[in-house]
Amino acid sequence: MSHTMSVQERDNILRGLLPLAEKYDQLAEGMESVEENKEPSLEERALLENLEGMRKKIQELITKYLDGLPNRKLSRCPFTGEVLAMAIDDIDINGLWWNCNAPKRPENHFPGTYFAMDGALKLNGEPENMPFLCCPGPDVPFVLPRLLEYTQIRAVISTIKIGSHTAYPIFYYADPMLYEEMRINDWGTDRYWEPGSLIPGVLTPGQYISLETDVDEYDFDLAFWIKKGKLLWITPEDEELNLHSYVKGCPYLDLQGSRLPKYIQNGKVWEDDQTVEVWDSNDPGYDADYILKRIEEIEKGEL
Amino acid sequence: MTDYKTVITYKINRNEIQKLLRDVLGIGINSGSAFLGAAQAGIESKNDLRDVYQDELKNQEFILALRIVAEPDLYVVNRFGGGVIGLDEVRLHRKKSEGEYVVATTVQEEDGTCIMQIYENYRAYLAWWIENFAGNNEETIANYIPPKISLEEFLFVLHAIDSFRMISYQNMLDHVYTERAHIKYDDFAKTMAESIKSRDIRWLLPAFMAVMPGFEAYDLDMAPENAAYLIKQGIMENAKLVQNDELVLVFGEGGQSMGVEFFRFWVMSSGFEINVKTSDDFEMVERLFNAPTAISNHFVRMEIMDQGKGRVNHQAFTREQLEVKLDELFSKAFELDTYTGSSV
Repeated sequence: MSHTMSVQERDNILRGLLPLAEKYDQLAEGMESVEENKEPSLEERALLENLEGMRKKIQELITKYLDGLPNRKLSRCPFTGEVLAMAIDDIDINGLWWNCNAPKRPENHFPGTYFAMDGALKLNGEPENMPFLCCPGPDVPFVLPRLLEYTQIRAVISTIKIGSHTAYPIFYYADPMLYEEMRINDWGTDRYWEPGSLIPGVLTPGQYISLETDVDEYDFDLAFWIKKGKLLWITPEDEELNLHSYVKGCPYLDLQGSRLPKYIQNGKVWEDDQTVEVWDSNDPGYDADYILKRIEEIEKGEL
Repeated sequence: MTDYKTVITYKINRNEIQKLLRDVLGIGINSGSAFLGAAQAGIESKNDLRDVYQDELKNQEFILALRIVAEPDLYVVNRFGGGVIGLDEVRLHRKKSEGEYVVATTVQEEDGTCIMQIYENYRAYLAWWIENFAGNNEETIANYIPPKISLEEFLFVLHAIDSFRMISYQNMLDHVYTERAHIKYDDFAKTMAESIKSRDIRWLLPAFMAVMPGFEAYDLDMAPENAAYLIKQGIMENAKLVQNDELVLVFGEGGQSMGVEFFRFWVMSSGFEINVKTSDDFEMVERLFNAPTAISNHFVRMEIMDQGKGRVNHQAFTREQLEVKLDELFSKAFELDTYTGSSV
């Protein structure tokens, strides 16, 4: 029977793991200069043995972390009513589950109608200091019309506390299953697992796909999608995960916060504003000299 | 879907069925056959059936249809009714050893005959059904009854929709206009009890109970607590009358939307029950219901839980979604050789 780790146990794992992983990376980098097919020196052999020992220890700690993640009921399929539960690090966003580029997440058993997982997160106070990049989404929940425009797709928004922060998982379900359409990167990561084939008969089913975040895809007008029957919601703290499909009283409308995806690393938080400002010479306030000066600064690396 | 327009139709007198099968063709009748009930009704014919049916007996398709209907290994009860149409029933028969054909039978009470129609396969029958009995909508709408709920809660929702219709009709008769219709608690409970008792399928609640085949198999335990679902889902809301502070129910977002939809656009409904042969009898594998309107197909898939309790999965489907779902459920049932699992 699996054991859910306590805050202290998790802390111990991360305290052991993160510095070890950093040291491993530094040492492994040093080994890159060792020529292949050449007998390693005594010093190099000792280093290799050391690395192997560290690798085992890292793996051991990762396994402990994965086994200790709590399984939380997060959503419910609007087609079958099946509850979706998954292992998630809800103690804080400084756990490896939230590592955007190398997430550590155990295999989950989702309903057959599961299509994709996205999410948003509103920070409450300063984030923890972690060495990896964490991308938990914008402050407020949103949907992707690209997916909801398919008749067979519906989304469900719910709430979960991640430490002191408030997160909004957004799950997409399909009935029947939709293939041949790009899904979305799993919430907080830079990739997703595509179980089917994007080009049947050409590409083998089953592969990781990494998509660029496109803020223009985000639609925060949730009421529109609820009225269309494409978006359902679950009341925060409703342990029964009852689905709702009406607009009145929906707690996810008009939430305050940024609509841009945020990035967190080493205690710093920043947003990626992808909107492009286009200046036209006919615009009032257009200043060619100012623009040229700014370009020069950029080229010199001063900006 | 497969073309259904090449259906072959045969007619046979009910009081000649048993004799024709037993004495002329040597075919038995099993418990899944529509012939079982038909054959038991009335007095057996004394006519020489080899003579009466001499042309048909030369026709291999006629004999094929009789073999399938007499001894099916799968049958589907398909009922129609509610709204503005009366109750009617078609039974589909399939016998795997005879191929993919399905034979639909209807009993004509007025002239004592049984009509048999041969379809190429179940898809051809569904194509006919979709064309005639499904809503034609292409746009999705909100499903105000998301899955899954107890059968009792679902019946309360159906009566909430009927209540909206009742109040709307009454207000029209009384020349009353109101933006927010309301109903008193006692009136809601009283009209619900009357509606169930009436079996008047012009109303949605009794229509569901009559049109859904096998409805009587569910153990109903109606309690006032089931009404709480109406509030939880925004179908009804608690309110107080300004003039006397009396507590009443008003229609919430879901109740208002579905009330208007059914008041303006609902005309009929259909039910399906798919039964598959087991070693000694038949087992029900699916019970389905559909109430089409101009803007949605209100599709219901029933489940039987422990102790005969019913659970409902309601979906508001486009026509395309309904087609896909019916095909999925029918193909699953039609692939079964014999039924071995527990109730769905």
